[in-house]
Amino acid sequence: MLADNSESTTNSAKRPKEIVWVGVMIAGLFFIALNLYWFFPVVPGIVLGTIILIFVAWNTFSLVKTGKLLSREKERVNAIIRYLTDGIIQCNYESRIVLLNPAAERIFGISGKELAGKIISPADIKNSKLKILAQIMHPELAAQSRRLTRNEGEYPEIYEIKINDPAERDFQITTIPITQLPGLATSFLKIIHDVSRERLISRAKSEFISIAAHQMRTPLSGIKWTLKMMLDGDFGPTTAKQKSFLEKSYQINEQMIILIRDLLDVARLEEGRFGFEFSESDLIGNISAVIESYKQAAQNKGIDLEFIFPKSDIPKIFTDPAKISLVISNLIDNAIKYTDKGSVKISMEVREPYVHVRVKDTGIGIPKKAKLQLFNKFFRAPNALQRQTEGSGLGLFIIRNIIKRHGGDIWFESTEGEGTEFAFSLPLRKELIPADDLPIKEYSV
Amino acid sequence: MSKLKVLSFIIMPDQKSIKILLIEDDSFLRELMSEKLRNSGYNVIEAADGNEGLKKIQTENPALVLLDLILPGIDGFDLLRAFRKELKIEVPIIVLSNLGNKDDIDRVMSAGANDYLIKAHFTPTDVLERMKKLFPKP
Repeated sequence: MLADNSESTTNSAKRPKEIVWVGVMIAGLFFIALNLYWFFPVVPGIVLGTIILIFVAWNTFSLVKTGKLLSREKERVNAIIRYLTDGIIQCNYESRIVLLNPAAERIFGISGKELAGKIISPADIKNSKLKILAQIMHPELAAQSRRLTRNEGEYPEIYEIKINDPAERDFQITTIPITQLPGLATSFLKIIHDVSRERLISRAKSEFISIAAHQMRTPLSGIKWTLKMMLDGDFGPTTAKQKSFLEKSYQINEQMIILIRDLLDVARLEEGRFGFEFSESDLIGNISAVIESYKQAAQNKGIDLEFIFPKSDIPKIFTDPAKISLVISNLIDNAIKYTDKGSVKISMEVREPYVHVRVKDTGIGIPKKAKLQLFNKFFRAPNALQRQTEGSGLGLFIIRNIIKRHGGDIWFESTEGEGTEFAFSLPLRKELIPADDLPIKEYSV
Repeated sequence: MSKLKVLSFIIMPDQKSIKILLIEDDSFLRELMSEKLRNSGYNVIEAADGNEGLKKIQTENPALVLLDLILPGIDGFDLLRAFRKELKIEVPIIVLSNLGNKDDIDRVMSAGANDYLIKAHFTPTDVLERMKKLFPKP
């Protein structure tokens, strides 16, 4: 397993030093005791002799105990490293490989002995034996690679790479610096987690969703077009009663289409390919436009929909305007849907280094028990379920991820029966926006 | 001629002669879209696959093309490229598809499509509106 024994030699090098020191101490004490014995024979000599004997015995005992503990600890660590399913490579300060566990040997298809003390350079990608290892040590050589940690030089640093040669594999590589004795350069530990299976399943799932959604969209388009054309009188006149039923069917069909759109959005978000397009945009204009489109819906329900204009100027900020519109319309849509009387008020303010947007309603509120799960996929609060059968439970999951991608956050305060206030933040400065799309965790809360 | 007819004549001059090529493999959707276009006074030429589309664009000389992407034979992506690059056809092309990935939309728009509509998100009336925007103003 160990490619080189530098790790254990540092440990064993420490031990002889300790033994020497303890020996010197014992010899010194023995020397003092012997002198005392000559000057004050019998009683003090016996007492001192006993003290020294106890001291020596205790020291020897604790030394043996520490030694045993150390070797037991070493065995334990070795067993963990040996049987770990993740591969582990340790490189010393010169980037020479000093440790390789059996899982790493399996991943690279090469034995630790062959790699002991080797420095892996980018050129080793041409060497068929070192191909995988070279791509792991130098992620930029892999077919695809991306850093999952936000900042360069942030540890532990996590990379996810996809290699195509010699076979298609996906790895997650965590690099941890190990600070050794003071004054010595750090060595690095790399933990290699084979995520090929997870990625394969995730890709298959996404493909399935895409194909299924496309297959479902075609017949739904046919139904939508037919109903719309019937309503428009393309197939001849219809009675008021027929029209009312056609309208209801049209709405139900629309719900299915929206559900499919949301499912596709979730699949894309989860893969980190939702296609964000950032540009300098006017948030107030964006919000006003969305509010305008909901004026009629609010009026139909007798709800007061109001935009409280910010007192201070809101600077232009970097967003994906289409995605932010989706966020605002989702929040307003929910607010109107779950409010029977009263108002829906939208306000915004600058809270350096963010701008906060709030959507406050006087609706049914969110039950305490539902609060923790509200942003989970497919979750719908029981009081919402009782009122409206439609709704996929995907909206808040999608918008939370849109806000996160912008470097902001979303939260809410709610009292059941009184109302809810949703708020989200967006950074005022471009630097606070994450650099690129990352795949998101399935049930991130 | 009634007032209404005069009015429609002013808004849509020569509409009967406006030829639309509809390339769509799903017969039901093709039938619906054709009906809507004919009801609105357009002359519709139908093509059920890529090869037929490629042939008819050269023989029929349409004023506008409605193009589906997933097609038997030559698919919509290749067809679009052939229309713009090889045949140098400059008439407006509206892509009607149920693919909605940003990658697909970008690919189609950069290959020279004038508009992209997801079928499930638009109605034939919406398509007519988009078409009108693409015709040169009378």
